[in-house]
Amino acid sequence: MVVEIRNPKFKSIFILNHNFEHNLKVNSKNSKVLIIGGGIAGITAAVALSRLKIAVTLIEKATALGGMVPNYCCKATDACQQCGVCLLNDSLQALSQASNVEVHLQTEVTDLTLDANKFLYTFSRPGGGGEGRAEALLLATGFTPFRAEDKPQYRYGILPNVITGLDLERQLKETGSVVRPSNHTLPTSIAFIQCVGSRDPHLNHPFCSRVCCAYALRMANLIKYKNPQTEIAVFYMDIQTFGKDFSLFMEKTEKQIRFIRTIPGEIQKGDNDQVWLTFQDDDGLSSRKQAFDLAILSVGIMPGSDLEFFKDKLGLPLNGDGFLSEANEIFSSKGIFLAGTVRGPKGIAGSITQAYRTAEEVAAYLKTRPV
Amino acid sequence: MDPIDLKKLDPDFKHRLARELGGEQIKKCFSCGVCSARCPIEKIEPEYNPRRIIRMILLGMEEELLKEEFLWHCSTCYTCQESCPQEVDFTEVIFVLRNMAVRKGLAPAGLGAARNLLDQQGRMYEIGDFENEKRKEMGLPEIKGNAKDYRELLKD
Repeated sequence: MVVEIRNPKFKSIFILNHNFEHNLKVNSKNSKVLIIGGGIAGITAAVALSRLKIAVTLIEKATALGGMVPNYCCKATDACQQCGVCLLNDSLQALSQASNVEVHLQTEVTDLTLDANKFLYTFSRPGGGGEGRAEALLLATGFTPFRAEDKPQYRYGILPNVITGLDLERQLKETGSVVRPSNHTLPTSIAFIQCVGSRDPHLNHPFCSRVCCAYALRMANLIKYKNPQTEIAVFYMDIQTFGKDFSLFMEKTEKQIRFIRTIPGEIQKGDNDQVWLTFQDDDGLSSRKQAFDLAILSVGIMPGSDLEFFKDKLGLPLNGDGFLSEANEIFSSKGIFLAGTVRGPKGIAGSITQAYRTAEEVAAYLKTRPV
Repeated sequence: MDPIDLKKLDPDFKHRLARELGGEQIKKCFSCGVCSARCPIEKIEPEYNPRRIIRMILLGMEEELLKEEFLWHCSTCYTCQESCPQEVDFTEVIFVLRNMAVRKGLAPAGLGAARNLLDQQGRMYEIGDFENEKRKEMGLPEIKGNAKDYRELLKD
Protein backbone atom coordinates (compact mmCIF):
# COMPACT_ATOMS: atom_id res chain seq x y z
CA MET A 1 0.00 0.00 0.00
CA VAL A 2 1.47 3.32 -1.04
CA VAL A 3 0.25 6.41 0.77
CA GLU A 4 0.80 9.93 -0.49
CA ILE A 5 1.28 12.79 1.89
CA ARG A 6 1.25 16.23 0.36
CA ASN A 7 3.13 18.83 2.31
CA PRO A 8 1.97 22.30 1.23
CA LYS A 9 4.86 24.04 3.01
CA PHE A 10 7.55 22.36 0.96
CA LYS A 11 5.39 21.92 -2.14
CA SER A 12 6.56 18.38 -2.45
CA ILE A 13 5.07 14.96 -2.07
CA PHE A 14 6.41 12.40 0.33
CA ILE A 15 5.44 8.87 -0.37
CA LEU A 16 5.33 6.65 2.67
CA ASN A 17 4.97 2.94 2.69
CA HIS A 18 3.08 1.28 5.51
CA ASN A 19 3.69 -2.26 4.36
CA PHE A 20 5.59 -3.55 7.37
CA GLU A 21 4.65 -7.22 7.29
CA HIS A 22 7.17 -9.64 8.64
CA ASN A 23 9.29 -11.64 6.22
CA LEU A 24 7.48 -10.25 3.26
CA LYS A 25 8.54 -11.59 -0.08
CA VAL A 26 8.95 -8.56 -2.27
CA ASN A 27 6.95 -9.15 -5.39
CA SER A 28 9.02 -12.18 -6.21
CA LYS A 29 6.83 -13.15 -9.15
CA ASN A 30 6.72 -10.09 -11.33
CA SER A 31 9.35 -7.59 -10.15
CA LYS A 32 12.12 -7.53 -12.69
CA VAL A 33 14.36 -4.67 -11.64
CA LEU A 34 15.62 -3.81 -8.18
CA ILE A 35 16.53 -0.14 -7.76
CA ILE A 36 18.50 0.71 -4.64
CA GLY A 37 18.29 4.37 -3.73
CA GLY A 38 15.21 6.61 -3.91
CA GLY A 39 16.89 9.86 -4.83
CA ILE A 40 16.32 11.78 -8.04
CA ALA A 41 18.19 9.19 -10.14
CA GLY A 42 16.40 6.18 -8.63
CA ILE A 43 12.95 7.77 -8.92
CA THR A 44 13.55 8.86 -12.52
CA ALA A 45 14.77 5.39 -13.49
CA ALA A 46 11.75 3.76 -11.77
CA VAL A 47 9.34 6.02 -13.67
CA ALA A 48 11.14 5.42 -16.97
CA LEU A 49 11.08 1.63 -16.50
CA SER A 50 7.43 1.63 -15.48
CA ARG A 51 6.60 3.52 -18.68
CA LEU A 52 8.34 0.70 -20.54
CA LYS A 53 6.01 -1.72 -18.69
CA ILE A 54 8.81 -3.20 -16.59
CA ALA A 55 8.01 -3.96 -12.96
CA VAL A 56 10.29 -2.26 -10.47
CA THR A 57 11.04 -2.52 -6.77
CA LEU A 58 12.51 0.68 -5.33
CA ILE A 59 14.25 0.42 -1.97
CA GLU A 60 15.15 3.52 0.04
CA LYS A 61 16.69 3.47 3.50
CA ALA A 62 15.49 6.92 4.57
CA THR A 63 11.97 7.74 5.72
CA ALA A 64 11.13 9.75 2.60
CA LEU A 65 11.94 9.73 -1.08
CA GLY A 66 14.07 12.37 -2.77
CA GLY A 67 17.56 11.63 -1.46
CA MET A 68 19.54 14.84 -1.08
CA VAL A 69 17.31 17.10 -3.21
CA PRO A 70 14.69 17.87 -0.49
CA ASN A 71 17.51 19.68 1.36
CA TYR A 72 17.90 22.18 -1.46
CA CYS A 73 16.07 25.47 -1.98
CA CYS A 74 14.46 26.88 -5.10
CA LYS A 75 16.88 29.51 -6.35
CA ALA A 76 14.53 31.59 -8.49
CA THR A 77 14.95 35.35 -8.29
CA ASP A 78 12.59 37.36 -10.52
CA ALA A 79 13.24 34.60 -13.03
CA CYS A 80 13.96 30.88 -12.80
CA GLN A 81 17.69 30.18 -12.40
CA GLN A 82 17.27 26.60 -13.61
CA CYS A 83 18.76 24.93 -10.57
CA GLY A 84 16.59 21.88 -11.17
CA VAL A 85 15.43 21.40 -7.56
CA CYS A 86 11.72 21.55 -8.52
CA LEU A 87 12.23 18.68 -10.96
CA LEU A 88 11.98 16.37 -7.96
CA ASN A 89 8.31 17.32 -7.58
CA ASP A 90 7.63 16.33 -11.19
CA SER A 91 9.45 13.03 -10.67
CA LEU A 92 7.55 12.27 -7.46
CA GLN A 93 4.27 13.13 -9.16
CA ALA A 94 5.10 10.79 -12.02
CA LEU A 95 6.12 8.07 -9.57
CA SER A 96 2.88 8.35 -7.62
CA GLN A 97 0.98 7.72 -10.85
CA ALA A 98 3.26 4.97 -12.11
CA SER A 99 2.04 1.43 -12.18
CA ASN A 100 4.28 -1.57 -11.54
CA VAL A 101 6.47 0.34 -9.06
CA GLU A 102 6.72 -0.85 -5.48
CA VAL A 103 8.33 1.63 -3.10
CA HIS A 104 9.82 0.48 0.19
CA LEU A 105 10.99 3.15 2.58
CA GLN A 106 13.12 2.68 5.70
CA THR A 107 14.37 -0.47 4.04
CA GLU A 108 18.00 -1.43 3.77
CA VAL A 109 19.55 -4.15 1.63
CA THR A 110 21.58 -6.38 3.94
CA ASP A 111 22.84 -8.96 1.48
CA LEU A 112 23.09 -9.14 -2.27
CA THR A 113 24.29 -11.97 -4.51
CA LEU A 114 24.39 -12.49 -8.24
CA ASP A 115 23.57 -16.10 -9.08
CA ALA A 116 22.97 -17.32 -12.64
CA ASN A 117 21.75 -13.94 -13.93
CA LYS A 118 19.46 -13.49 -10.93
CA PHE A 119 19.93 -11.13 -8.05
CA LEU A 120 19.00 -12.51 -4.69
CA TYR A 121 18.78 -10.02 -1.87
CA THR A 122 17.75 -9.76 1.73
CA PHE A 123 16.55 -6.59 3.34
CA SER A 124 15.73 -5.28 6.78
CA ARG A 125 13.25 -2.67 7.89
CA PRO A 126 11.64 -1.59 11.15
CA GLY A 127 9.62 -4.54 12.39
CA GLY A 128 11.12 -7.19 10.15
CA GLY A 129 12.83 -7.99 6.93
CA GLY A 130 12.69 -10.38 4.05
CA GLU A 131 14.18 -11.43 0.80
CA GLY A 132 13.56 -10.96 -2.87
CA ARG A 133 14.92 -11.58 -6.32
CA ALA A 134 15.33 -9.48 -9.45
CA GLU A 135 16.61 -9.91 -12.97
CA ALA A 136 18.48 -6.64 -13.10
CA LEU A 137 19.95 -4.31 -10.51
CA LEU A 138 20.14 -0.54 -10.73
CA LEU A 139 22.27 1.22 -8.14
CA ALA A 140 21.40 4.85 -7.45
CA THR A 141 22.67 5.28 -3.92
CA GLY A 142 24.00 8.78 -4.41
CA PHE A 143 26.79 10.62 -2.63
CA THR A 144 27.92 11.98 0.73
CA PRO A 145 28.51 15.72 1.14
CA PHE A 146 32.07 16.67 2.07
CA ARG A 147 32.62 17.01 5.82
CA ALA A 148 33.75 20.62 6.22
CA GLU A 149 35.42 19.73 9.55
CA ASP A 150 38.08 17.96 7.49
CA LYS A 151 39.40 21.36 6.37
CA PRO A 152 40.30 22.60 9.88
CA GLN A 153 41.77 25.89 8.63
CA TYR A 154 38.21 27.12 7.94
CA ARG A 155 37.02 26.45 11.56
CA TYR A 156 33.66 24.95 10.55
CA GLY A 157 31.79 23.81 13.64
CA ILE A 158 33.91 26.13 15.80
CA LEU A 159 32.99 29.59 14.49
CA PRO A 160 29.19 30.01 14.34
CA ASN A 161 29.26 32.18 11.22
CA VAL A 162 31.10 29.65 9.10
CA ILE A 163 28.49 27.46 7.41
CA THR A 164 28.46 25.10 4.45
CA GLY A 165 26.59 25.52 1.19
CA LEU A 166 24.32 22.70 2.32
CA ASP A 167 23.52 24.55 5.58
CA LEU A 168 22.66 27.62 3.48
CA GLU A 169 20.41 25.55 1.18
CA ARG A 170 18.48 24.25 4.21
CA GLN A 171 18.26 27.72 5.74
CA LEU A 172 16.96 29.29 2.53
CA LYS A 173 14.52 26.42 2.06
CA GLU A 174 13.11 26.56 5.57
CA THR A 175 13.10 30.32 6.27
CA GLY A 176 13.42 31.88 2.82
CA SER A 177 16.21 34.19 3.98
CA VAL A 178 19.81 34.06 5.08
CA VAL A 179 20.79 35.12 8.60
CA ARG A 180 23.96 34.90 10.67
CA PRO A 181 23.66 31.88 12.98
CA SER A 182 25.33 33.81 15.84
CA ASN A 183 22.62 36.45 16.30
CA HIS A 184 19.99 35.87 13.58
CA THR A 185 20.62 39.23 11.89
CA LEU A 186 20.99 39.79 8.16
CA PRO A 187 24.62 39.64 7.05
CA THR A 188 25.91 42.72 5.23
CA SER A 189 28.92 40.93 3.75
CA ILE A 190 29.19 37.30 2.69
CA ALA A 191 32.16 35.29 1.43
CA PHE A 192 31.68 32.14 -0.59
CA ILE A 193 34.72 29.83 -0.60
CA GLN A 194 34.71 27.40 -3.52
CA CYS A 195 36.36 23.98 -3.83
CA VAL A 196 36.17 23.11 -0.12
CA GLY A 197 37.09 19.43 -0.14
CA SER A 198 37.11 19.21 -3.93
CA ARG A 199 40.23 19.37 -6.11
CA ASP A 200 42.27 18.64 -3.03
CA PRO A 201 44.95 15.97 -3.53
CA HIS A 202 45.92 16.10 0.15
CA LEU A 203 42.47 14.77 1.06
CA ASN A 204 42.63 12.32 -1.87
CA HIS A 205 39.82 14.24 -3.61
CA PRO A 206 41.52 15.55 -6.73
CA PHE A 207 38.24 15.68 -8.67
CA CYS A 208 35.90 18.61 -9.30
CA SER A 209 32.46 18.16 -7.70
CA ARG A 210 30.81 19.93 -10.65
CA VAL A 211 27.86 21.36 -8.70
CA CYS A 212 29.37 23.78 -6.18
CA CYS A 213 29.96 26.70 -8.58
CA ALA A 214 26.41 26.29 -9.85
CA TYR A 215 24.72 26.24 -6.45
CA ALA A 216 26.96 28.89 -4.88
CA LEU A 217 26.51 31.42 -7.69
CA ARG A 218 22.76 30.82 -7.88
CA MET A 219 22.40 31.28 -4.12
CA ALA A 220 24.63 34.37 -4.29
CA ASN A 221 22.31 35.81 -6.95
CA LEU A 222 19.29 34.89 -4.83
CA ILE A 223 20.70 36.59 -1.70
CA LYS A 224 21.60 39.66 -3.78
CA TYR A 225 18.06 39.70 -5.18
CA LYS A 226 16.50 39.52 -1.70
CA ASN A 227 18.93 42.00 -0.09
CA PRO A 228 20.62 44.15 -2.76
CA GLN A 229 22.82 45.85 -0.11
CA THR A 230 24.59 42.61 0.77
CA GLU A 231 28.18 42.58 -0.44
CA ILE A 232 29.15 39.18 -1.77
CA ALA A 233 32.63 37.94 -2.65
CA VAL A 234 33.33 34.56 -4.26
CA PHE A 235 36.77 33.02 -3.76
CA TYR A 236 37.47 30.52 -6.53
CA MET A 237 40.13 28.64 -8.52
CA ASP A 238 38.20 28.20 -11.77
CA ILE A 239 34.49 28.56 -12.37
CA GLN A 240 32.96 25.28 -13.51
CA THR A 241 30.67 26.07 -16.44
CA PHE A 242 27.10 24.86 -16.19
CA GLY A 243 23.91 25.19 -18.21
CA LYS A 244 23.61 26.24 -21.81
CA ASP A 245 23.14 29.92 -20.89
CA PHE A 246 26.28 29.96 -18.76
CA SER A 247 27.92 32.95 -20.48
CA LEU A 248 24.80 35.10 -20.05
CA PHE A 249 24.44 33.93 -16.46
CA MET A 250 28.06 34.85 -15.67
CA GLU A 251 27.76 38.23 -17.36
CA LYS A 252 24.85 39.10 -15.09
CA THR A 253 26.46 37.57 -11.99
CA GLU A 254 29.79 39.35 -12.44
CA LYS A 255 28.00 42.71 -12.31
CA GLN A 256 26.78 42.19 -8.74
CA ILE A 257 29.27 39.81 -7.17
CA ARG A 258 32.99 40.27 -6.59
CA PHE A 259 35.05 37.39 -7.93
CA ILE A 260 38.50 36.86 -6.41
CA ARG A 261 40.64 34.18 -7.99
CA THR A 262 42.40 32.77 -4.96
CA ILE A 263 41.96 30.25 -2.15
CA PRO A 264 41.78 31.82 1.31
CA GLY A 265 44.41 30.51 3.68
CA GLU A 266 42.37 30.43 6.85
CA ILE A 267 39.40 31.84 8.74
CA GLN A 268 39.83 33.47 12.14
CA LYS A 269 37.43 34.86 14.72
CA GLY A 270 36.90 38.62 14.67
CA ASP A 271 34.88 41.08 16.72
CA ASN A 272 31.09 40.71 16.79
CA ASP A 273 31.42 37.12 15.63
CA GLN A 274 32.70 38.33 12.27
CA VAL A 275 34.99 36.00 10.37
CA TRP A 276 38.41 37.14 9.16
CA LEU A 277 39.61 35.66 5.90
CA THR A 278 43.31 35.71 5.04
CA PHE A 279 43.80 35.71 1.31
CA GLN A 280 46.01 36.92 -1.49
CA ASP A 281 44.04 39.26 -3.72
CA ASP A 282 44.69 39.20 -7.43
CA ASP A 283 46.23 42.70 -7.37
CA GLY A 284 49.71 41.18 -6.94
CA LEU A 285 50.18 42.73 -3.51
CA SER A 286 50.81 40.74 -0.35
CA SER A 287 48.05 38.82 1.39
CA ARG A 288 45.58 40.63 3.58
CA LYS A 289 42.78 40.03 6.03
CA GLN A 290 39.20 41.04 5.45
CA ALA A 291 36.21 40.70 7.76
CA PHE A 292 32.92 39.19 6.60
CA ASP A 293 29.65 38.69 8.47
CA LEU A 294 29.24 35.18 7.12
CA ALA A 295 31.45 32.66 5.32
CA ILE A 296 29.95 29.89 3.22
CA LEU A 297 32.05 26.85 2.41
CA SER A 298 31.03 25.33 -0.93
CA VAL A 299 31.34 21.67 0.00
CA GLY A 300 31.26 19.13 -2.78
CA ILE A 301 30.24 15.60 -3.67
CA MET A 302 32.13 12.68 -2.11
CA PRO A 303 31.59 8.97 -2.78
CA GLY A 304 28.64 7.51 -0.88
CA SER A 305 29.27 5.38 2.18
CA ASP A 306 27.40 2.40 0.63
CA LEU A 307 29.81 1.94 -2.26
CA GLU A 308 32.16 -0.30 -0.25
CA PHE A 309 29.22 -2.65 0.42
CA PHE A 310 28.52 -3.09 -3.31
CA LYS A 311 32.21 -3.40 -4.02
CA ASP A 312 32.42 -6.28 -1.53
CA LYS A 313 29.17 -8.01 -2.52
CA LEU A 314 29.37 -7.73 -6.30
CA GLY A 315 33.05 -7.05 -6.95
CA LEU A 316 32.35 -3.67 -8.55
CA PRO A 317 35.50 -1.62 -9.21
CA LEU A 318 35.82 1.71 -7.42
CA ASN A 319 37.83 4.22 -9.44
CA GLY A 320 40.73 6.23 -8.02
CA ASP A 321 38.32 8.85 -6.69
CA GLY A 322 36.16 6.23 -4.93
CA PHE A 323 33.19 6.31 -7.35
CA LEU A 324 31.83 3.51 -9.53
CA SER A 325 32.51 5.29 -12.83
CA GLU A 326 33.47 2.30 -14.93
CA ALA A 327 31.19 -0.31 -13.37
CA ASN A 328 28.22 0.35 -15.67
CA GLU A 329 30.22 -0.37 -18.84
CA ILE A 330 31.90 -3.47 -17.39
CA PHE A 331 28.95 -5.05 -15.58
CA SER A 332 25.92 -4.11 -17.69
CA SER A 333 26.25 -7.49 -19.46
CA LYS A 334 25.62 -9.11 -16.06
CA GLY A 335 22.59 -6.95 -15.33
CA ILE A 336 24.22 -4.39 -13.04
CA PHE A 337 23.51 -0.77 -13.91
CA LEU A 338 24.28 2.52 -12.23
CA ALA A 339 22.80 6.01 -12.38
CA GLY A 340 23.38 9.35 -10.70
CA THR A 341 26.21 10.35 -8.41
CA VAL A 342 27.33 6.76 -7.68
CA ARG A 343 29.12 7.12 -11.01
CA GLY A 344 30.73 10.44 -10.18
CA PRO A 345 29.81 14.03 -9.30
CA LYS A 346 26.89 15.50 -11.21
CA GLY A 347 23.92 17.80 -10.72
CA ILE A 348 20.18 17.17 -10.68
CA ALA A 349 19.69 17.58 -14.44
CA GLY A 350 22.69 15.34 -15.12
CA SER A 351 21.36 12.64 -12.79
CA ILE A 352 17.95 12.71 -14.48
CA THR A 353 19.45 12.45 -17.97
CA GLN A 354 21.67 9.58 -16.92
CA ALA A 355 18.80 7.77 -15.16
CA TYR A 356 16.69 7.87 -18.35
CA ARG A 357 19.58 6.56 -20.41
CA THR A 358 20.36 3.81 -17.89
CA ALA A 359 16.68 2.79 -17.79
CA GLU A 360 16.84 2.32 -21.57
CA GLU A 361 19.94 0.19 -21.14
CA VAL A 362 18.17 -1.93 -18.50
CA ALA A 363 15.21 -2.44 -20.84
CA ALA A 364 17.52 -3.46 -23.68
CA TYR A 365 19.34 -5.88 -21.39
CA LEU A 366 16.09 -7.52 -20.21
CA LYS A 367 15.07 -8.08 -23.85
CA THR A 368 18.29 -9.77 -24.88
CA ARG A 369 19.59 -11.31 -21.67
CA PRO A 370 20.42 -15.02 -21.60
CA VAL A 371 17.68 -16.97 -19.79
CA MET B 1 56.19 47.45 -9.98
CA ASP B 2 58.92 47.59 -12.62
CA PRO B 3 58.09 46.52 -16.15
CA ILE B 4 59.39 43.10 -17.13
CA ASP B 5 62.10 43.12 -19.80
CA LEU B 6 61.18 40.29 -22.14
CA LYS B 7 64.72 40.04 -23.48
CA LYS B 8 65.98 39.11 -20.03
CA LEU B 9 63.54 36.21 -19.61
CA ASP B 10 64.86 32.67 -19.92
CA PRO B 11 62.03 30.37 -21.10
CA ASP B 12 64.15 27.33 -20.23
CA PHE B 13 64.45 28.28 -16.55
CA LYS B 14 61.27 26.47 -15.43
CA HIS B 15 62.30 23.34 -17.33
CA ARG B 16 65.73 23.33 -15.71
CA LEU B 17 64.15 23.82 -12.31
CA ALA B 18 61.66 21.01 -13.00
CA ARG B 19 64.57 18.63 -13.70
CA GLU B 20 66.01 19.19 -10.22
CA LEU B 21 65.02 17.05 -7.24
CA GLY B 22 61.97 18.70 -5.63
CA GLY B 23 61.17 21.01 -8.54
CA GLU B 24 59.29 18.47 -10.66
CA GLN B 25 55.76 19.85 -10.01
CA ILE B 26 56.48 23.54 -10.62
CA LYS B 27 54.63 23.76 -13.96
CA LYS B 28 51.37 22.55 -12.35
CA CYS B 29 50.80 25.82 -10.45
CA PHE B 30 47.61 27.66 -11.44
CA SER B 31 48.30 30.60 -9.18
CA CYS B 32 45.55 30.20 -6.59
CA GLY B 33 47.71 31.94 -3.99
CA VAL B 34 46.87 29.71 -1.02
CA CYS B 35 50.64 29.32 -0.42
CA SER B 36 50.98 33.06 0.09
CA ALA B 37 47.78 33.31 2.12
CA ARG B 38 48.96 30.68 4.60
CA CYS B 39 52.67 31.59 4.67
CA PRO B 40 53.74 32.89 8.12
CA ILE B 41 56.85 34.59 6.70
CA GLU B 42 54.85 36.56 4.15
CA LYS B 43 52.86 38.14 7.02
CA ILE B 44 56.08 39.64 8.45
CA GLU B 45 58.09 40.12 5.28
CA PRO B 46 55.76 40.91 2.34
CA GLU B 47 58.75 40.84 -0.03
CA TYR B 48 58.71 37.06 0.35
CA ASN B 49 55.63 36.00 -1.62
CA PRO B 50 55.43 32.35 -2.77
CA ARG B 51 52.85 33.02 -5.50
CA ARG B 52 55.03 35.81 -6.90
CA ILE B 53 58.16 33.63 -6.75
CA ILE B 54 56.38 30.90 -8.74
CA ARG B 55 55.24 33.44 -11.34
CA MET B 56 58.85 34.66 -11.62
CA ILE B 57 60.02 31.07 -12.18
CA LEU B 58 57.37 30.37 -14.82
CA LEU B 59 58.14 33.64 -16.61
CA GLY B 60 61.85 32.77 -16.58
CA MET B 61 63.10 35.64 -14.41
CA GLU B 62 66.14 33.66 -13.30
CA GLU B 63 68.54 36.58 -13.04
CA GLU B 64 66.26 38.72 -10.85
CA LEU B 65 65.08 35.84 -8.70
CA LEU B 66 68.33 34.11 -7.74
CA LYS B 67 69.96 37.29 -6.49
CA GLU B 68 67.00 38.14 -4.23
CA GLU B 69 67.71 37.94 -0.53
CA PHE B 70 64.12 36.90 0.25
CA LEU B 71 64.81 33.39 -1.07
CA TRP B 72 66.64 32.87 2.23
CA HIS B 73 63.75 34.07 4.40
CA CYS B 74 61.69 30.86 4.10
CA SER B 75 61.51 29.04 7.44
CA THR B 76 60.70 25.70 5.69
CA CYS B 77 57.57 25.13 7.78
CA TYR B 78 55.95 23.30 4.82
CA THR B 79 52.54 25.00 5.29
CA CYS B 80 52.47 26.03 1.62
CA GLN B 81 53.19 22.48 0.50
CA GLU B 82 50.43 21.11 2.74
CA SER B 83 47.85 23.58 1.37
CA CYS B 84 48.62 23.43 -2.35
CA PRO B 85 45.73 22.01 -4.43
CA GLN B 86 48.12 21.13 -7.26
CA GLU B 87 50.80 19.43 -5.18
CA VAL B 88 53.48 21.94 -6.14
CA ASP B 89 56.11 21.15 -3.51
CA PHE B 90 56.94 24.79 -2.93
CA THR B 91 59.21 24.30 0.07
CA GLU B 92 61.27 21.92 -2.06
CA VAL B 93 61.27 24.53 -4.83
CA ILE B 94 62.81 27.00 -2.40
CA PHE B 95 65.62 24.49 -1.72
CA VAL B 96 66.17 24.13 -5.48
CA LEU B 97 66.32 27.91 -5.91
CA ARG B 98 68.79 28.21 -3.03
CA ASN B 99 70.99 25.50 -4.55
CA MET B 100 70.88 27.28 -7.90
CA ALA B 101 71.80 30.56 -6.22
CA VAL B 102 74.76 28.93 -4.42
CA ARG B 103 76.01 27.42 -7.67
CA LYS B 104 75.98 30.88 -9.23
CA GLY B 105 77.82 32.30 -6.23
CA LEU B 106 74.80 34.36 -5.23
CA ALA B 107 74.40 33.04 -1.67
CA PRO B 108 74.28 35.71 1.04
CA ALA B 109 77.54 36.31 2.91
CA GLY B 110 76.16 34.97 6.19
CA LEU B 111 75.69 31.55 4.62
CA GLY B 112 79.43 31.25 3.92
CA ALA B 113 80.16 32.06 7.58
CA ALA B 114 77.69 29.39 8.69
CA ARG B 115 79.33 26.91 6.34
CA ASN B 116 82.75 27.67 7.75
CA LEU B 117 81.47 27.20 11.30
CA LEU B 118 80.06 23.79 10.37
CA ASP B 119 83.36 22.93 8.74
CA GLN B 120 85.34 23.76 11.87
CA GLN B 121 82.94 22.78 14.66
CA GLY B 122 80.59 20.24 13.14
CA ARG B 123 77.67 22.35 14.41
CA MET B 124 76.21 25.82 13.97
CA TYR B 125 77.08 27.05 17.45
CA GLU B 126 80.42 26.67 19.15
CA ILE B 127 80.36 24.45 22.24
CA GLY B 128 82.55 26.00 24.90
CA ASP B 129 83.23 25.54 28.62
CA PHE B 130 80.07 27.46 29.54
CA GLU B 131 77.80 25.09 27.59
CA ASN B 132 79.56 22.01 28.91
CA GLU B 133 79.26 23.23 32.52
CA LYS B 134 75.52 23.71 31.98
CA ARG B 135 75.30 20.23 30.53
CA LYS B 136 77.16 18.80 33.52
CA GLU B 137 74.66 20.46 35.90
CA MET B 138 71.83 18.81 33.94
CA GLY B 139 73.54 15.45 34.01
CA LEU B 140 74.40 15.42 30.32
CA PRO B 141 77.75 14.24 28.94
CA GLU B 142 80.40 16.68 27.70
CA ILE B 143 80.54 17.49 23.98
CA LYS B 144 83.73 18.01 22.07
CA GLY B 145 83.75 19.65 18.67
CA ASN B 146 84.04 16.90 16.08
CA ALA B 147 83.76 18.18 12.55
CA LYS B 148 84.93 15.07 10.76
CA ASP B 149 81.54 13.79 9.57
CA TYR B 150 80.38 17.21 8.46
CA ARG B 151 83.60 17.83 6.60
CA GLU B 152 82.94 14.62 4.68
CA LEU B 153 79.44 15.84 3.84
CA LEU B 154 80.59 19.30 2.78
CA LYS B 155 83.52 18.08 0.68
CA ASP B 156 81.80 18.86 -2.61
